[in-house]
Amino acid sequence: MRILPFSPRKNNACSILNNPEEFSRAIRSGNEALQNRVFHCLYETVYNSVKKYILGHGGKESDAEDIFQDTMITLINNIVEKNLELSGEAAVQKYTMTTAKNIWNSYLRKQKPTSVVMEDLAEYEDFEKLLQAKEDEKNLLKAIDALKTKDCKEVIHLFYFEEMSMNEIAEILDKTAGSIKSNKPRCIEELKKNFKELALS
Amino acid sequence: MELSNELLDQIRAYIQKRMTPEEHESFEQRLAQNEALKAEVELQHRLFRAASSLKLRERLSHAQYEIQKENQLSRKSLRKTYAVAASVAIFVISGLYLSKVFMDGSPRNVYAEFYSDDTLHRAGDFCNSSDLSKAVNLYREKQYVPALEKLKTLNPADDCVSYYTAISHLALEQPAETVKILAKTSGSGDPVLAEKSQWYLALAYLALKDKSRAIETLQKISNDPDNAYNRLATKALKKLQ
Repeated sequence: MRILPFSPRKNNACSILNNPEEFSRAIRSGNEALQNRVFHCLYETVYNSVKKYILGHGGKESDAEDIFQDTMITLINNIVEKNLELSGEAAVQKYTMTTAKNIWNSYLRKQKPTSVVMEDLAEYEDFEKLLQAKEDEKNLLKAIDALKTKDCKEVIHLFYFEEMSMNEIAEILDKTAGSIKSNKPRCIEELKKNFKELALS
Repeated sequence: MELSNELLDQIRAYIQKRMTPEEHESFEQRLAQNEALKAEVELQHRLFRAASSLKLRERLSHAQYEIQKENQLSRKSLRKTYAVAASVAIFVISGLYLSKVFMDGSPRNVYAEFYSDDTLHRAGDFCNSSDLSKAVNLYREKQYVPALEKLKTLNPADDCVSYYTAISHLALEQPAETVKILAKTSGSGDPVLAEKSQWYLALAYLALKDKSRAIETLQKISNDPDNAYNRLATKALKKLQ
């Protein structure tokens, strides 16, 4: 009996990578189901190449996961904020690999500044911004954790993470819009104070 | 700078590019004349951006978890294919009865196929309090008993403490304890925690061979297209039914 070699299932949903307009629209949309489809496709098509590169250049699997997330966030921010357009799956793969390599090489440079020649200052500046943004993420979580009341934590979560309006926050928390109106600025002031202290420490 | 709700809404609209061209121009003029406002906008931009990136990381982690799980299932399926082929050969040769073990969709088999630790989320992504981090690290290192001991010293009313206690019990094959705890946290206000709790609650029901509750819980996950465990739940349901 001849057993055929295993061939992975072709994921038709990933045809979205070859449709630049639909791809950009999915990334820019607030539709999480649509965006999740794109994330799945990006993992299926690019993650293994990034992992192979990182493992081949002194990194571990956990580094590959981190770098891939940083790469995806850079890609998504550039599509949303800088109107980056990628013309198909090959362009997505090329852009993702280049970005992942740049980020990983910048991490290596940061660890051993003298061992790697800095070729492109602009690329290094982008990396510094990425590091700052990651520091902000950690500090935001700590600043929320340090808020004194549970009510404030909920208001802040709904305002910054869920981007809800005052009325929506009031409805979710089963409170009057008036009480949210008086509490929200106080909570945000406390958050800002915590965040600034962490950023300076 | 003291913030009113109106100013906060304006800053958010400016950052998220939701102002009309006239509003945008007028706001830019205010920014040019007011250093404190400019600094406030920059700070708010950092906060919104950090929140947005954290949300993205969480969803990317979910996507990665699902893909890894699906790949594991594919590999199992491949092994199963080879195993069935080998069984058929043996059947043909010796006339032995072909075991149906590989086609069994019993709750315990589905549990064994779909269970894996919740290890993808690194510090900073989820349940990030400093008190909890030691217990979470122990869980990630598969030291479930010390993790439970550490969790016992923390605030039991904290949903994150409950969640890690529940999944540590599940890892120790104590699904009844898991169900007791997760039946509460699966209604948690935190959407990520609620989704994770629902998924592990379904797995705990499977481990307890409580097929009807497992199906009910999986159905809820499967019916929610935004749930990060949607695809896995749908697959698990197919196996069960």
